[in-house]
Order: sequence, then C-alpha cells, then structure tokens
Amino acid sequence: MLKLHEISKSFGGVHALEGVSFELKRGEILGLIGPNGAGKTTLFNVISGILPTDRGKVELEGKNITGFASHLIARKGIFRTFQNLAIFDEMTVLENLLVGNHLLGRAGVFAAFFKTPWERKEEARIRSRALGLLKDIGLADSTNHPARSLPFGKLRMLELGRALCPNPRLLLLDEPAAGLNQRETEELAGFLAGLRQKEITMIVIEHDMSLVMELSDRVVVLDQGRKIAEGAPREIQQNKAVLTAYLGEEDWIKTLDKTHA
Amino acid sequence: MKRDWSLWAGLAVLIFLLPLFVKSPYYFSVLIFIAIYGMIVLGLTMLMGYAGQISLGHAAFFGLGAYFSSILTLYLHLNPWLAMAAGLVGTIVIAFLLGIPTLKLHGHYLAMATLGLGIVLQIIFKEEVKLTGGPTGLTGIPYLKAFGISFSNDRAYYLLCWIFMLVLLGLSINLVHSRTGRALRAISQNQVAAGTLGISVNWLKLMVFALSAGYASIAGSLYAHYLAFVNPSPFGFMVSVKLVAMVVIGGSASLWGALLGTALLVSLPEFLTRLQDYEMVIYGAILILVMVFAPRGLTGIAAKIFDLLRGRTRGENAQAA
Repeated sequence: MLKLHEISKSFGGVHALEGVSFELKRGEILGLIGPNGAGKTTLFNVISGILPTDRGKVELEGKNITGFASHLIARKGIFRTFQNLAIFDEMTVLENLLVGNHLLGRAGVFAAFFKTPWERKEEARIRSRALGLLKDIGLADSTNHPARSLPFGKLRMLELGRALCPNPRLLLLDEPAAGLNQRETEELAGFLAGLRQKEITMIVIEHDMSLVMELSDRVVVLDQGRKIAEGAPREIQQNKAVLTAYLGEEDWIKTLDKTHA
Repeated sequence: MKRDWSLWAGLAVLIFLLPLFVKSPYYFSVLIFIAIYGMIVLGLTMLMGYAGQISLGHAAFFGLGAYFSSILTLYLHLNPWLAMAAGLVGTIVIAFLLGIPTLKLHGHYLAMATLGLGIVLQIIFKEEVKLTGGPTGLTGIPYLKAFGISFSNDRAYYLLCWIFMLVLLGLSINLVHSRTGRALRAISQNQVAAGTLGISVNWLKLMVFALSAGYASIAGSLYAHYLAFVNPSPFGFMVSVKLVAMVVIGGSASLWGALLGTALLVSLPEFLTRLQDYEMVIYGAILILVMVFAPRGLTGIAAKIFDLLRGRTRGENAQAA
C-alpha cells in the first residue's frame, strides 16, 4: 500500500536519508530500527508531510503523495505519534481525542456559529466515538482531567489513541515504548497486538528490541541514512551488517542476542 | 459551554435592567464604548488566544468599518444597515487578501503585515481628502434607524450596541466550543500535531483572522453612526496596541476576559481623567504586572478566586487526578 522510492533528505551537509526505498503491504507491521541518528524519525517526518524530501517519491496505493502538506497526508489516512509526545497539554483528555476526530466532521464556521441541527448531530457522533476510544486506551477515568495532569505512560496511550481516532489506513508510531516502565511496556505490547488483529497497517520505530521483533512482520534497518538490511525479524537478528552498525552500542547487541536466544 | 450560556443570559438580563437604574447619558456613552471596543477585542481574543496569532492593526479594520459606513451613506446615500453589511464584506475581503500570503509563513509575520496595513490605511484616511475628508474627517453621518426608531439618543444606542455585542458573543461561544474552536486551540498549542491530525492550519488561521477583522468592522460601523463623525485618529497604531492590551489583561484565551479587559481599559481613563497624559504609562504598567503576576489575565484571577471560594485548590485537584 505504501511505497517509498529513493527518499533522500539532507540538512546542510548532513545526509539524514540517502536513497531509502521499501514497500509496505496492507495489514503489515513493519519495524523500523537503527542506531541513533540513523534517520528513522526524519523518514517519518517525510512520510507524514512535516518535512519535504529532497529527492524520491512516496506513493500511497499507487497515488503520488510526495510533498503533500501534513493535513493532506492525514486526509489520505496516514496518522502518527511523536517520539517526544505532541499532546495538547492545556486541553482535557477527552478534548485531545475530540481533536483527533477532526476529520470525522465537516462543519465549518457558519454551522458552528448557529449550532445547526446537522452540526449537533455531527458533534454527538464525534463525541461518542472519542468516548469509546477513551475506554479502549484505558483512560475513561481521566476523561475531563487536563492532559498535563496525566503521568507520562498514560500520555503515551492518549497520543496513540488520538492517532487511532479517525480509523487510520497507516499508522506511524515513533518509539511508542520510550520512557515506559516494564508494566506499561507490556500493556502497550498487548494493545498493539490488538491492533494487529484489526489488521491496521503500521510502521513502528522502536528501541525495545524484544517488542519490535515480536510485533513486526518485517524489519527495515537504517544506518546513517541508508537502508542496510530488510527482512523477517529472525533474519535481521543474524544479519552481520546490522550487528556491525550497532557495534559500540553494547546494550543493543545484548538485547539483540537476548531476543535471538 | 453551559456555564458560558448562563453567564451570557446573566449579562443579557443585566443589560436590559441597567437603564432602570442608570439615567446619566455619560454612563451610557461609556457603556457604548465598552460594547464597541468589546466587539473588536472579542474577535482579537479568538485570533490571539485561540489561533495564537497577533494582529497589530485591528484599529485599522475598525477604521475600515467606520469609513465604509460613512462614505457609503454620505456619498452613495446607501441605507446605513446595507452600508454596514457592505463594510463587513469589504473588510473581510481585505483581511483575506492580507492574510493569504502572510499566514502561510510561520512566526509573527501577521503582526508585521497588520502593522504595515495599519500604517498604510492611516495614510489613506489622512491623505485621500476627497473621499475621507482628510485629518478633519467626515461629518453628518446619518443615525441608524429600525422599526421607526431612530437610534439617536444614548440610551437607545446603548441597547442597540449591546444587542450586537450579545449576538457576537453568542456566536463566539458557539464557535469556541465547536470542532473549529477545538482545532484553533490545538493549533495554538501544537501546530505540528494539529496538522498531522488533518487540521488545515493555514486555512483556519486565515478564517479566524478574517472573522476578527469582520467583528472590528461591525464595531467601526456602530462607532461611525454613534458619533455621526469620523476622523483618522481613533484608528491609529496606538489604538491597535491598546486593543492587544485589552486582550492580554482580560486573559487571552477567554471570551469573558475580552469583556473584562475592555471594560477595565475603557473605563479606567474615564476615572483617571487627571492622569490623561500618563495614560499609556499606566497601560504599560498594568500590562507588565499582568504578564508577571497573572499570565492568564483577569479571567485567571477570577478563576482562582472562584476555586478558592469553592474550597478547591490546585493540590486537591491533583490528588483527585
């Protein structure tokens, strides 16, 4: 469904991405891994329309979406989360999800001005959907709390729920487990497994190797802006180039070994 | 939302009861100015507090409304209500034309562009003598009439202005609590995230900017028909700054703050007439004090007092969470 063709992006003289290509099938979960600075988040920013690419093409179901503004990318059904969280702090938990459902509505300024019956109906639909999702992500107790009062782990779930609001065709998760404790990571893994059952197509950037190896159908490895390996999780764990790329980051090699064993 | 509408109803009752107690035309004229400036500040609050953009030229849109009304009624003998509507459309179109190129850019380009527009319009108001009457302005602007009533006395005009205010306030309450209002708040808090959720950031900013210019235009028309006289001075840069000060002092993300801020800054000089020369100094001092001690403005202070009265402190809130 998603096809990346020779994506390149540089900042000044630094090549963040150099000719990255891969494809994604419908319903597939792709793990995107690589050492820090490999270009993973840059790739997400390119796909989601936050950054323009220098070269290359992004295709969604055969249609060229390269260079689309981020709100148009969202309209195509691609939603994402952020490594450092991008929650609307001053809104309530529910309001965050209501904003997440923005694309389910169409009412503009004038419908809102006069609260037309049609606008009320639409609001009710958006609200009930947001409340449903709130249950799914386990935050029903915090509905009207300001988002900033939530602990970090719950904010991660809130952001994930927000990205799920409008029924994404493709979900981009940027380190969903970062900053979570053991128990929260397990909960997240359970939740993501649930999404797999719903056959939601995903690309997941993750440093937690056991999580990513368990979840992914396929793994793509980036290093210094280039794709150095692609394959089933099992193949990746034995791939020499991958191990070399991670050389010096001993913890990672350990986790790679551990999941391999 | 319910709370907003109860406050709205309370305000409406107050407005209609007030003429029973207030008799002096002087107080009515102060209240009329609060309504007129309040409308501009209401729109500016949505632009600043909700969309996170600053305009330093709202007095110019105010002036556009006033001059459109004056010129169309004086030279073309247009019905004043029609002239007001035409002024509204004209002002919104000008705001769109200014907003389209500038709101695409990140940062405070809108502040710069509106500052420029304000200066240009001020020059036009002063120099296009044939059309605007130049620095001496235009006189003999007709009074507004409806249902056989001529709104020529202060009490009638007070009611008219505040009915306009109530309508605009009601529309704003609805807007703020709608999908669009949420999207605007989302933009002001995290523009990138708002975009990735499908919110068309530039378009919404443009809409709310044009809308706020429209509010200012209506206020301008009401101003022209009230005084029956316009000249360039009430539409200059210092007035634009004063309007921004009203938004900040009221608490920029609150419609009620807009009213409070306006009421304070319009009535203050009336009470401090002897200090007229120091007016701007006092504004500056108030602005700094608010920024330092009450960043959420008067509404923030009111909310804190309200919470204290209900025995709800921040600590307890956190515990409840």
